[in-house]
Amino acid sequence: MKYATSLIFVLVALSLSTVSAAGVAVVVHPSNSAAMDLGQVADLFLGKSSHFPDGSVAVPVDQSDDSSVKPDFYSQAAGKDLSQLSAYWSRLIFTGKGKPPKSVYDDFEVIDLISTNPNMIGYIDSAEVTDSVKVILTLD
Amino acid sequence: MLLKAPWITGLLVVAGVLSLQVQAQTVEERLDRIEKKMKRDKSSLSEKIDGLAEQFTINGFLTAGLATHDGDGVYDDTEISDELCFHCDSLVGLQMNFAIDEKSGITTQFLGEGGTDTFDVGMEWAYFYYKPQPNLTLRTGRMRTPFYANSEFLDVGFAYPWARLPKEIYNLTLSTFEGIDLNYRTSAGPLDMEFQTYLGSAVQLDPTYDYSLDNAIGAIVKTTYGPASVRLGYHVANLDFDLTGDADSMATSLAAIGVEDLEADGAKGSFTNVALTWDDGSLYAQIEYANLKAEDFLFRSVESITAITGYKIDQWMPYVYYTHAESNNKDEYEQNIATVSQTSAALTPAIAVLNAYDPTDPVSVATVQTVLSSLAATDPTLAELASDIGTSGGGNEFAVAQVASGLQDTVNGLGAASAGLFAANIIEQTSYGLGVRYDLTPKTAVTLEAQRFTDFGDDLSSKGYFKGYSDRDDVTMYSVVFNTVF
Repeated sequence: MKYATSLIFVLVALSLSTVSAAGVAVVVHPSNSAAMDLGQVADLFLGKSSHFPDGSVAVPVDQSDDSSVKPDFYSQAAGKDLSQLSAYWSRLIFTGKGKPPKSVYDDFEVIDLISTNPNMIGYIDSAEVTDSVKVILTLD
Repeated sequence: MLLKAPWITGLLVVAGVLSLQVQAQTVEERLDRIEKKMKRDKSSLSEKIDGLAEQFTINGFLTAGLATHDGDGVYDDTEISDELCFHCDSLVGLQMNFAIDEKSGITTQFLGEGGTDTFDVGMEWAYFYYKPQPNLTLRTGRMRTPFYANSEFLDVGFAYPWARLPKEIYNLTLSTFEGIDLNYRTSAGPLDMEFQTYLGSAVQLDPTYDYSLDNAIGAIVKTTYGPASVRLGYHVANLDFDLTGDADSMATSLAAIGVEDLEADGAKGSFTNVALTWDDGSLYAQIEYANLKAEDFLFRSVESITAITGYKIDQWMPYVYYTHAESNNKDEYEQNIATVSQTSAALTPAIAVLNAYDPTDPVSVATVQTVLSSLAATDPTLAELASDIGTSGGGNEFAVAQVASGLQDTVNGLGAASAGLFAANIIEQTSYGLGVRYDLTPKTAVTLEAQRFTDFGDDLSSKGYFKGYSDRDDVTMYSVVFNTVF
């Protein structure tokens, strides 16, 4: 019986771990009713736009290069790996044309910030989503 | 029981092992969380410090390279020769931005370039910006001249695949100007448009001659649609020269025979640039065309093209490129050479006659008189001398000798002009490059590249963009370049 419980636990843990590796959730403040497609989200994170579709100011919150979801997010949203992303930003920074979004350390910090700021948008591991943020898009 | 159902035993053993692993995993996870929490606390502390410094940001870039080639001469302004060079590509840049308020601020960029013993540090940019709207920027001060597709980050090696941007096309050395500019950006769905226009002037101090661009004006339109973009640029400027030494005497000789008045102000120059780029994250391709037309021979009037393609596979990006540059004023050049040699040919017998002047010989007096009268067409003061010789029936030996030596100087000056000035500025060059870039981290990369220079033009005496050569054989250049942004 003890082993059977362990077995079930193992299976659940395994299935959970596949879920947690599955996706990146784009999250906003629960009060934000924005509906956005991936292209619009990418434009915010690449500095090409600075507003939500309803016209309110959007502040993207990025994650550090250590983040496990960052590579997934940028490869799907912008078709860029992290090196191409820094090349992209260096083309803008060193022409005075743009600054990359502020980045925080990990999913938890993103949630902390977004849950208290209606203008912010971020991305996190979809397994880490809590009630304090709203998912507007999930990437595979 | 064990014998009856051996599969159960097997399953139980597997389950046991897995549950141990899970326990180990949860411990690891807990440790991981604690570690992350610690890093978080640390980062939120640094965040607070960042907050204080938010008005002030510093970014930088660094390039360290080594390069050499197997040929003769030095490659353009890079100092790369057949000896291994460690400083030729090395540079470090620091850009500081100070935000005055949400709409305005000051940006400065210092650039240190590797020299033989020292780093030459200079202020590359220093401008004030004002953004009345998020998509509109007005700037004034010292800025990058936006001649080329990769102009604005031409020192930031990390931003492009080449070990160094091809000199065949990136050869306008006036990389900064003082003036004002306007940037406007708009987007409609996947279409993104950028518009830039500027007005300013630039000065280049050169060992042989100083020149400047006055009333430089230009406009650039860049349209991006998904991974594809098109950039069109057109610029005009007045070119002014301040000639000294040899260049000055050559210019005087050329002006004397009506080939070209190099010192006349207001010679015009125009520059057209078209670039097509494709960058979808895997495939990168860019074709850039440039046409520089200058009315003066002190500037190279060159038409050039470069095409590069690379493919990103994980951290690797192998790439190949082709470049070609050719003077677009060869016909004019040939015409000038012809005028110069005709003039020299016509002057040589005249100089001989003047040198052989014998005031006591009536035949010599008569010929010298004829020669001086014919030269009076270009120099009216000689008519006076001719008639003076006629009335006095000779004399004036010193004046005649002076005229002869003056003409000899002109002939020498013309010879030097056609051999040096013209020949050096009439060029042709083709190159092929093969390289690979490897991303060490998201912010550092190393690039290995080989570039083969060939086709320097059969009818020319120059060797493309090489200087100080004695043979015109093909050259292969090898480069290893390390780039980082911070």
